[in-house]
Amino acid sequence: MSTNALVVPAELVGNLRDGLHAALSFAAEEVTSVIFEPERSLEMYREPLARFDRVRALLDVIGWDREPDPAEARFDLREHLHATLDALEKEIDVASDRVKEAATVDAERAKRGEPPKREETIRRVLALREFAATVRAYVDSLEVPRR
Amino acid sequence: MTRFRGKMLVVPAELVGNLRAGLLDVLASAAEEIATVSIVIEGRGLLREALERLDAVRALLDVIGWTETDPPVEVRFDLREHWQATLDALENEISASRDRVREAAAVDAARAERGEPPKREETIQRARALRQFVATVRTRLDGIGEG
Repeated sequence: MSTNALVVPAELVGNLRDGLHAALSFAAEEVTSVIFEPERSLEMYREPLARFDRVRALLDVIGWDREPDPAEARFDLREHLHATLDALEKEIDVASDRVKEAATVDAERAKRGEPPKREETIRRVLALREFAATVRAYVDSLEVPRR
Repeated sequence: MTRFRGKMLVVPAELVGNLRAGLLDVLASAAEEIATVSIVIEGRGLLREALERLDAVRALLDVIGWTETDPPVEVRFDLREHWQATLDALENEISASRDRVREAAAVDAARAERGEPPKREETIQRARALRQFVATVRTRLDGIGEG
């Protein structure tokens, strides 16, 4: 394994993938907004298209679709730095919303006779935040610009 | 006048803007679809087709240029390589040009109120040139298919 290799634990690969899909969606929206810009220039397309390509490149590495039995993923963090940070940032936002809604979700689940999920939701968010912090510390140690 | 040099399609300068506008419309449509389906896990199966359409359009925009030139200049490219993007774009632009012809009288009335000369004849002439170009491209593609 290269010293720049990041290992994503199996239980967080789905989160990273979801974050990448969210980042892909954002980048696609940005491309669309440039197209509708009356004074558009070639430069205006460059960054959203580059972000789009970075996200796709990492999805090519970790896989685009959910797997029934996910395995850990590993890739060169230097190569996929921006896409990784972008995806984790977006997924943490979503996960934070899930925690806020957890009590309501559990109330609905209770009505259907299903067990609560709040503790599991919180545990997953904590694991995700911890992983993101580890990645950021790793990035800082690499001394490469984040943006 | 449409010319072919070997496998190359030559797009007359006066129609390059139409081709580009059609490509940007297809790009916007593909990007919007990607933005929507990528955040819905069940919709991700539709991503591949939208990504392929977007890539094909990007490849042709890279050839003909993403923004207008002043004055416009003819472009040439290998039709076999870019036939799908070319057809998608031209079909889109034909539909837009039909709308422009339908609205030409109303546009001219508004122009007259502003003291501007009518544009209806020019709009019709451009729509005709575009249709003729598309017919030629289709004939050429039929020939390629048979060859």
